[in-house]
Amino acid sequence: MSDLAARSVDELSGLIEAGQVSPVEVTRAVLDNIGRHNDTLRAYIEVYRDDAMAAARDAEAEIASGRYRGRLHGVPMGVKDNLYFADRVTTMGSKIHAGFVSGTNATVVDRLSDAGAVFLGKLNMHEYALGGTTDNPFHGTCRNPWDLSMSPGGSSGGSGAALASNMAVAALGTDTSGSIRMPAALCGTVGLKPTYGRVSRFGCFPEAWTLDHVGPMTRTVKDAAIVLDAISGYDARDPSSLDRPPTRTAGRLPTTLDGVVIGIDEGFFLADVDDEVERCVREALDALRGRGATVRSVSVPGLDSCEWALATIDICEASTVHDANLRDRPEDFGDGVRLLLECGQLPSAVEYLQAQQIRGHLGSTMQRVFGAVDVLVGPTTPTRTPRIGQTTATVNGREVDASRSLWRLVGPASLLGLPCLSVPCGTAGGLPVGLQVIGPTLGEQQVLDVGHVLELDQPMGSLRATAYLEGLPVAD
Amino acid sequence: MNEIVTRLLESRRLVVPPGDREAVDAHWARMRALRATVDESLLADSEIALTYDPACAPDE
Repeated sequence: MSDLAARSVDELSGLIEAGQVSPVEVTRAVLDNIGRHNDTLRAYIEVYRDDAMAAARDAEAEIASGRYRGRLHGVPMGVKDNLYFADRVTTMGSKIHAGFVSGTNATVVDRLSDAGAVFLGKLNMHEYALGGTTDNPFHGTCRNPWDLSMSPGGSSGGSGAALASNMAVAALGTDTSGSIRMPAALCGTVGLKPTYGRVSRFGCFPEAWTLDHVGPMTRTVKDAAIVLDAISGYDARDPSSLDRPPTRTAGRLPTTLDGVVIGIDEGFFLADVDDEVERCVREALDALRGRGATVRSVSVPGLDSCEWALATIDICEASTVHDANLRDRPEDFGDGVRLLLECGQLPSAVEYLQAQQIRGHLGSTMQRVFGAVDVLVGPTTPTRTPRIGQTTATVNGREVDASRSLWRLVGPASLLGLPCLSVPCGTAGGLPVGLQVIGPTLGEQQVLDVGHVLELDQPMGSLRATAYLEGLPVAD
Repeated sequence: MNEIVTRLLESRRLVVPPGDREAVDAHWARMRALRATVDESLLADSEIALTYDPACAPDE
């Protein structure tokens, strides 16, 4: 069967369960792509080639003997390199942790393992997840498969690039200030940041502990739902874990949005946004209306204050995590990350607590907004895709600070711990644009519903990143 | 380097390499500018009355 590596989890799981496709064939097809593209794209830090094939053979035998575990059984997945695998190196994309070996798995790794997933290896990331580019000074610059001169975003850029180039069928990312959603948007893939506490962070190296999330990155919304259902649910080992059972979203995705009210705060989400990005968002809204949704303008007071509050909390907590190494071995950080950690030493305790006050107030305001709408939407990122190595991006031809602009619109859902999906909604200048769907606390089903229904309209048409990659030479 | 930034870093006993100083300054200026845009009403704690209001003061 052709093009197995390009299939979705949803498609593959049916074929694997029916015995029409073997996990060994799928894993081999994905590993072949890794062999072709990883030297160029630098999506993986480490590939578990032999172990992946062995796990695929085990899955094949288990399924053949009638012990099918579920939709991830035999499905090859990549995992961001800040999630621990027992007895294996987890680098956090850093030099300092280049030899770190955990004694335990992250809870999400255990849960995927129980579900029968095949692990392909560890995905590249911005050093310690502290940035939005995946320009990693120690493990190589990750490139966007749609255009190799462009950034895949970050910090989970390896996950986005691997999915867009069929080097994984599904992946895990982490998101503190947009690190799942930004690379999903820039790589034309799907990324879900769940509600804070919905997915365990045990065994995930912290960036900023009151903001950190682990979540699925996939090529379709339904796949994100399948992965979320496998990794969510209470974990006593994570003090912030919500006492809730695993989600059951994948089987409930609708085909229409009758009765669903979608809100958009244009004063925030469409201010200072590139015209082509805005066009994609408005076309997505038209498509959602066509599927039965009501789109309503709303105003969420205080959203402009998010940026300062989020930046303050994020850098203060990150500087706390790395305080000892920043003092003892600053030369072992990459330049950009060291700088960020130095800046995190500047805010006062009063400023950190004021940022937390803003968070509290905005949370209450947002709760009221979700009394009137089911979800909020906007672009995931407001600019054209930034070029690798440049600190600026463009909005209508004007140069703007890339990192500030990329973080601005993903900020509210990060700060408030709300579930938020980025789903492709078109292209600007030939590169993907993401629509962000934000839901109320524990409203993963609502955001997945809207994303799934948008996907039915195929806003990307037949465009795939691999069309670009097909012209590249084979590496081995 | 900005005087306040220098003082803050000294008080934190953090030595910043010369090559980082200009960028730390720029970050500080950016954060000050962002702080100036914050809606001050969001800073009033919603759980504890922090602000003295003479209208609510008990009669002496």
